[in-house]
Amino acid sequence: VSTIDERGRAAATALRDEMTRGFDVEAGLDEVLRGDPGVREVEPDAPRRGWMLAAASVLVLAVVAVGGLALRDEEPASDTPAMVTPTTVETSPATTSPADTTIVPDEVAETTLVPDTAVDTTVQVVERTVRVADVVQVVEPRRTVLATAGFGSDPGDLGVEDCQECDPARPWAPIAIPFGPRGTVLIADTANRRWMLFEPENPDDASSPWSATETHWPDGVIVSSQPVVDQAGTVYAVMYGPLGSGGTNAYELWTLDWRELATPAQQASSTLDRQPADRADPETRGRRQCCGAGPAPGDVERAGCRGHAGRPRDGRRHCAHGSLGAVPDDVHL
Amino acid sequence: MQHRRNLDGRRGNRIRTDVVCSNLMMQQRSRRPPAAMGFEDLYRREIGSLRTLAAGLTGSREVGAELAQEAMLRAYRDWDRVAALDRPGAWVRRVVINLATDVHRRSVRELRAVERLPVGEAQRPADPVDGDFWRALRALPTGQRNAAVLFYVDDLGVDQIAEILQVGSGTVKKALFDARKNLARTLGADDVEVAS
Repeated sequence: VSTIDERGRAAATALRDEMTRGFDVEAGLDEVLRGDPGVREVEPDAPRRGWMLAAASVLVLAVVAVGGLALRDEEPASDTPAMVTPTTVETSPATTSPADTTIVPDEVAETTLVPDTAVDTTVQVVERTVRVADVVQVVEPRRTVLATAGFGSDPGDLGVEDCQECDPARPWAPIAIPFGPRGTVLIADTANRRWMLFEPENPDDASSPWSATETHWPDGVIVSSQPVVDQAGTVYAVMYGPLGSGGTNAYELWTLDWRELATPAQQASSTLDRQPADRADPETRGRRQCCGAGPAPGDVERAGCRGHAGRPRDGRRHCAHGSLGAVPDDVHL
Repeated sequence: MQHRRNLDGRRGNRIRTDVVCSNLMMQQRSRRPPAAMGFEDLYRREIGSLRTLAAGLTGSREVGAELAQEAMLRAYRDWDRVAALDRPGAWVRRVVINLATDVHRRSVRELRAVERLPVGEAQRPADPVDGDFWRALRALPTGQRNAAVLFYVDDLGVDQIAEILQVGSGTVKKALFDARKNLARTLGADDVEVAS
């Protein structure tokens, strides 16, 4: 036994005493059994959700009140619907909600809030029932499903790693390539080590279905961050894997022509903190990466755990990696 | 019939005899789902070691406690599979080490970024785990750091460490040897005798 070992064991004993002193094991256990998120859970913030509901309620009430004021006017009843006809604001699907898609034109408030005092100062109260459905218009989000991909490693599928022992790999967000009559969509399917290029089968036909072509990159290499594309169609992707000298793990910035994804146009060793990546961060060396060749198609291995690029089991949650988190079912593009 | 073996090689589920459950605790346990019962034993047995492991690796008591709890949460959510393993304790240790590696890597980069800023001192983690030994251990490369922390905190043998880290025994021996050598150099070789 060396002196170092003695010092190490003494330090560990002291730290263990500190970490267990005052810690209520039963309370910690209860927290886990209750499923108390405690850490690293991404749930909607309850207070924020409450504020949003309150704001939506106030907005609806305001619309109803303004509508009521408008109906109080002595104008013929037939004009009323035109005055309170809502104006629809087109919003992106991600932000559309019934509460924020309807506004009432300003002239409604102006014509009803300023009565003609010279003629009659008496406020005429007209009782009329206004249904919320008449003044609030619900707009369905506009979306077009270009293609549908299942979970897995078959052609046309997108891989979602099923792994609890590490952060599971999942596809990176689609990137739009502005070429062709209807454009092209590229997805880095990192769990399956391939690019998935979605294009319309017949670019000249607007109703033509979209299909995917896949281009694999080397085994053991992953796309480590969201790829981007410039207006010339050059794709930039940070790759990580045994790319350093002597097969050490390293980062490389690849530039690829979107038409020739099989062969990078350039592979530049990226630098971290002004040093070559394969020497700058020793923590990244020797750590097994996802996307190693597994015993069966679609299997992936990392850091001693094995996952499968397939549909997650019921009740399984995935950590964030890419923007397709919490996909409940098939992925719609 | 195949018996489950614990990390220390003993057969059967280890039952703590030094824990006396109060009536209240028994009532609480009786309300828990049956599937949680085996998990409770694992939690009570391992949480202290996991907290110490994670705190030593990350350098923060707060973060260490969170990581240990996170590892246990993952084990509970996947308990059907974890319970079927020969050594669930090894599984949760591997989860803690993977999580701690991610945290350590992130904190190193953040610290470097902060150090480049022209402002005072770099921020330190909340409630840090100080001490020369832990600072020296956290400066080791990943493989050496993980092997050494399991060796010192849990007093595990080479084979058990190899199982947790999913590497060969020879790799663990080499990592421990290098870790001792580097620790000796960092902590001052004058008062340190390195065993072969």
